[in-house]
Amino acid sequence: MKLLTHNVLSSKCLKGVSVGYPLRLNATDIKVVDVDFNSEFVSRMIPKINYSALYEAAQSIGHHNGLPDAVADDYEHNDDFLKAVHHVLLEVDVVSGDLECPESGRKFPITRGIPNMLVNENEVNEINSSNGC
Amino acid sequence: MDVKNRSVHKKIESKQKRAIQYISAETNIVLGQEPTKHILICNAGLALRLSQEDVIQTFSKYGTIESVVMLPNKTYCFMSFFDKSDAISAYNALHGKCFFPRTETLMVLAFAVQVPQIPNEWAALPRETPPGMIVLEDFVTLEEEAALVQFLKWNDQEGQLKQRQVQHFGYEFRYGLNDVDDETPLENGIPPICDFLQPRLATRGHSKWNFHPDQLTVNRYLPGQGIPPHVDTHSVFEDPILSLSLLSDVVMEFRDISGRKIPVLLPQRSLAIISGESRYGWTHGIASRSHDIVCADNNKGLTLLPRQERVSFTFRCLRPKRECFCSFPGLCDSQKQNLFSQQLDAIHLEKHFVRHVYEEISDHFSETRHKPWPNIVEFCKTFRTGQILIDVGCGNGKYFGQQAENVSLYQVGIDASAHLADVCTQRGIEVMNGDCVNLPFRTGIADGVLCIAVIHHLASHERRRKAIQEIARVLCKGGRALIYVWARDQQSQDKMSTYLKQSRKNRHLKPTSSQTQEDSQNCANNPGNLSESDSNDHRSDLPLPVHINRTNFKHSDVLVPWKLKGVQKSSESNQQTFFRYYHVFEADELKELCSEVPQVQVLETKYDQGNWTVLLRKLP
Repeated sequence: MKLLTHNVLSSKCLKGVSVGYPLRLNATDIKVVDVDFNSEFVSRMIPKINYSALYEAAQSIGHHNGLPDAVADDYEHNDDFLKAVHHVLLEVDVVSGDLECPESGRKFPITRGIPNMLVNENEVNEINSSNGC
Repeated sequence: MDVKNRSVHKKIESKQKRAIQYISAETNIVLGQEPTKHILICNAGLALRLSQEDVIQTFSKYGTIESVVMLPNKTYCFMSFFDKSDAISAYNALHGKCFFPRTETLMVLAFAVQVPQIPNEWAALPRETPPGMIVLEDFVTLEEEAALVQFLKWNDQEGQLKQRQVQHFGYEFRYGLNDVDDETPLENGIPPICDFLQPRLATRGHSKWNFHPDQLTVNRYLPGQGIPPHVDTHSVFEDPILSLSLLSDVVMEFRDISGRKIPVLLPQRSLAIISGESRYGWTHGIASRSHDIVCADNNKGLTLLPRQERVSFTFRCLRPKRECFCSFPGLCDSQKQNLFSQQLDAIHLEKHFVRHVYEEISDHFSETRHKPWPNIVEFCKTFRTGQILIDVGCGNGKYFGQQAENVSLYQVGIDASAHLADVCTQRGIEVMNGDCVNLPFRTGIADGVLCIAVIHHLASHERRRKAIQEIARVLCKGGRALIYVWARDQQSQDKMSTYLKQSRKNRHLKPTSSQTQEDSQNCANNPGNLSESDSNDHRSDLPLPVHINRTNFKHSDVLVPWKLKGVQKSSESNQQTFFRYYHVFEADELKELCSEVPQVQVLETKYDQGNWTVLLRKLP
């Protein structure tokens, strides 16, 4: 699982959870892979992602080296910055560990690089649960 | 005018000018300094916490108010007087001279040729009630009112709820459960002082309700207190509900499931009969506030009515059998309970006939899935570098990497099958396990969503709708989704779908990996062998009819056999048959399902090789 994926995941569907973001990341196995750098891709991704969640996730697994704690001004033309973000977004791959809901503490395991976000029916809000009473 | 005043005056002028410019562009209403009976309040509205009460309080000094139009999320609002001369005197007294309540902002006003025509519940007077509701004024005399209030003994500890005090007679209403325990009646039945109810109803011409209540809840509200919107539990109480208002008037707000609101004035000493639609299909409540807005003196303007202490007697009859079959399932606990158990049944069915089956057949399934479909590839090619495309139910990920040349997307897949997710990661595809009715994504994150051959595996209408709602939720504004489901009708305009053509009978060819129907590739690996189900499509060990592969669908909800190739491929007896659940879609069914989700618009719907498909856009 790439940190970009971590950045879009949320546990909002759980009963009683209102935001469910960002999920706390624990990694027991990480691999670093090579991905071609595309500055256009990274600079278009920056407004979409939650940068502080990315920074915190990278920090929590010790891979924030070189990543500034805030988005650089004029980042579209700052290749050093874009490369640092590129590395953290796409090249750091969490092979095993877990994701933890910040509100309920529910853990979602990551095995063989795949987060298991499946939930049981008793953990989620019922369909049509609006109750007039 | 001294220098300071002149500069304030100038500031107000230019503020007014700017506001007129931008609000007239936004509302298409002619605004200006030419007097009319309508006033635009330029720099205060709901978005700035100015309430309708504030407007009435401020303007009613200058004349009778005809209406107030508060616009949601706007920094301006409108009000009208009955007389233009009143509007002029208000304008002269207030514009640039007075502050808004609770602020140090000077009011900026302008005249308007008209006010926006928005549904405004307060403007909807004369007094309207929700269907089935009747208010009988002067139902008790002043002496009876005094006696009823006298009869009650309030003490500070008992029956104190957050927002009001209550006493129960007959049976205790249990607030957490919203029901009564009918095995344990209270010591105090309905007090004899209430015996006038039934004969009085008859003399007032409402003898059709032979009404003998066995449960009474008395509420006592102090100024500022209220009761949250609720519906009297359908399965617990009969129709109607009777409510007697004592000591003061109050406005009760009714709201139906579409959000329509009707405020109803309940005068002191009146009896409200809440029956039929108003009892089952509308919630009612009393806002916690210190004033009500009422239409005073027979439709002659809006005024504020200060709240006073109020006592209400709510009379109800217990339902002997806790079942309700009303036509308002959205507010019906009884039907919701049924719906809930239906959802559990659906989840159970999917577990056995979708999820488990995919885990068993995943390798074989993945082998048969490699040829992407042209229309879907075309959709993938519409995305640009740096966009996010989520594939809901991605299977083995065959739509990954189908973007246009030199385009770099962030594509992420989600599938319920652990085996298929493993297949994806082995191919370097970013994937997770998850559920299409509970997508684990942030709201508004995706530029595009693919959902191919997934929703037909959901076993109830509600779950299929929830899947569309989830797709709509994760899409960004303007984002697009492409959805494919299997069609019940496999023959469109007399052309057989590829799926039918693949039958030996129809084509005399063994189905191979030629371009095939999207979710049926190879699903009858050997259609000639299904003779055991040819004559009878019901099998006693299965909950649904079994579909005969490569034929038209006889039912909407079916089990479709999948013959798994055994280890020894040649041996027929080693073939294991699995059954996958499908809900096959009628014409327009997918489009109508999508129209139940207001956040999206159907851009295109078509029939594509035995599938129904829609292209959706999330509204900006």
